[in-house]
Amino acid sequence: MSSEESPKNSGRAAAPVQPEKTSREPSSTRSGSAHPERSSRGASGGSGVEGPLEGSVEVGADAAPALIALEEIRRTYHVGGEEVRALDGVSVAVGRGEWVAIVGQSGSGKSTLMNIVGCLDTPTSGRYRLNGTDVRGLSDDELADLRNKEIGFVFQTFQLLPRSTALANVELPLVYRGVPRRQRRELAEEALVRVGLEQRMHHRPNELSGGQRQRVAVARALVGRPALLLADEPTGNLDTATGEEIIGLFTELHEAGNTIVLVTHEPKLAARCPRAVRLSDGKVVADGPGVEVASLQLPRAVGT
Amino acid sequence: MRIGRAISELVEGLRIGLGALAGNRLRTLLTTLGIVIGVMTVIAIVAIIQGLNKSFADQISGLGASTLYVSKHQWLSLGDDWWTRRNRQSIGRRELKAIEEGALLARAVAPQIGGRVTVSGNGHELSRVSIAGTNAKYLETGAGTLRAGRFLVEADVDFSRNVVVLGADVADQLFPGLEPEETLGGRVRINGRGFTVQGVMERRGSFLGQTQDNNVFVPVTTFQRLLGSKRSMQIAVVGSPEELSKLEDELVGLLRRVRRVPPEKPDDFSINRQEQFLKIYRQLTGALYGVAVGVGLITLIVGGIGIMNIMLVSVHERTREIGLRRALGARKRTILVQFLIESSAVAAAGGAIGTLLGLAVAQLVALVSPLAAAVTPSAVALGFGFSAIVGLIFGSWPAWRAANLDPVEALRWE
Repeated sequence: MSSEESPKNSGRAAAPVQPEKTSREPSSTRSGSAHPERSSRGASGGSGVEGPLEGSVEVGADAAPALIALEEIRRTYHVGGEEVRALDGVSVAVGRGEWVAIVGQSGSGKSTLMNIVGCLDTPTSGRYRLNGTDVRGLSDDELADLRNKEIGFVFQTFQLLPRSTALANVELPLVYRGVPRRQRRELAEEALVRVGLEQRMHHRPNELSGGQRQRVAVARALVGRPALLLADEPTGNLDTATGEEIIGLFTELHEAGNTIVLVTHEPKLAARCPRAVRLSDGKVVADGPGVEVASLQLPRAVGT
Repeated sequence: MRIGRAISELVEGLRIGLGALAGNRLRTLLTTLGIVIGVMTVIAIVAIIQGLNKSFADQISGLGASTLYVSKHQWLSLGDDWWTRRNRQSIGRRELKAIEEGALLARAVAPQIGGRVTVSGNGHELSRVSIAGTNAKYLETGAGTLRAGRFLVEADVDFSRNVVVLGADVADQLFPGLEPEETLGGRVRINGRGFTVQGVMERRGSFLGQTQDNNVFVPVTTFQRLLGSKRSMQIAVVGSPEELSKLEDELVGLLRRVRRVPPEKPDDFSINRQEQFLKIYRQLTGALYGVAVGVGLITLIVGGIGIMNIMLVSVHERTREIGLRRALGARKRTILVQFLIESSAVAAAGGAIGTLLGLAVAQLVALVSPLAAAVTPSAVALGFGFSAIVGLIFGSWPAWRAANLDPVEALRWE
């Protein structure tokens, strides 16, 4: 553990250098461009309550707002009286149709970030807008509805209901949306066909292989036509070949115009994504094309 | 859309809840055992009480509602001054005569003296048959109806004739296979003396396992000639319902005079009414109901705790499922409803089983004991609804816990 400390620290010291190199181009084209603008604009009209940085992003919507707009997100936990900063000022913007990997080692804050992006958790401070909706101040019910409408989750452990058929599993998000039974069935069948499981619709999870289970999960994520697919280590519980299939499926979905955020600790997987954001100690340390971010982080991973 | 959503959530909740129950059959069964036993007990007790009520109502109808019964002792009275009552003078012909002649408000007066005799005839012999000495007015006191022949007439009493009216059981046993009409004019012996059958009574059925048809009626004068005139008689006096209290006052006056009770002394006789039976009976069944309700409540609480326990386990086991559902857009309320449906379904199922078993137990009790059993639909609905409510109440805390799980924590739970 303590041996891990020094490389991390050195990594953090090195970080400002690396991302400047690697993400110079992306930051001008993607997320990077948004922040300086907003913070400079917002500084004049800031009515922040939670902190100076909070106020600085109080701003009118951009002409074409990003699907995901995270501004100076902080999330702190209190563990045994000690304050733990899981996220320490993260600003990322993801546009429609992008495929972004969020990569980092365990403890880097990527899970916390995923929970916030997925509206399962809310930031301690900072502003998060999803598809134009500011999640700050939303009630628990409104967050549930937002998740239902805007986000399709894919989990590492599939999270399928064991006693229900593939079809019933896929229908679940539509149940909570109040879609009538028949329409629900049609949409679920469509989604299962989309992931290539037309022959397995009436099977229960224990009658399916790992890859098929994850396909069911992907179908469930797609069925409500959410704005965002949020995948947490989707290949983590699969062997290499099956994982490859799932990545292939994601590639297809990306090409079809879906926005995908994929959370992983594997630089290899991040390298397959057009864009990757690297987190370390609750901060963004790199943001750029997946191949570059992944390869740049590799030596450090070897070092540990 | 709102309503559609509410409905589809409810249906989903029902499906999940019942699915979970079906998935854990043994556990579900064990969980509901408490409720089953509770409901079974209550239903069985209530069925027996209702059965009692029914046969009691039949029985009480044998006592006229507007009839006063003059007797030496107060009915159903125990304890305090039995010693003084024990030494009371018997009630006999003197009192009967006084009432017959002096009670202006009386519509009918019938004496009753009872005993046990042996009745034989037609080659059969019956022992311990109850015999009543009475007069022609007996039927007017509401104590029964005649099936065949005629009842005692005044002349029978005046001339102390050896004529008898048979109870239904006695007629059946002495003259098996014969219609009541065919037994008329038959000869029977009562304690060795010959009697002519003059009438047969309508069957009255049994009360608390005691048949009420194993009896014979003879003229009161014949009774006294045969069995002695010392025993105290009871005198039934029928009045009009509105003037029953006045009649009672009149009787008290008459009896005190004829029995020479000094003014400062209390009455040395009692005037009883059907109401007294009702009162005692209500106290008795009230206590039974109290026991039933008490036992039922305790077992339902125990059963409810069992349900709460198993629901907490169920919530715990399905933490990840709850997390998933929350992630997919289930609101807290939806999760709450899901678990409430589950717990009340378990309890209601237990209630249904308990109701069936309770009815079976009541029937069994009715078969092997003198107690009767009757069940009204309301008792069944009560058992069923009550247990569902128990499920709701005891399921609410586990359901609340489920609904308030943090989705992030729940999803990560192993």
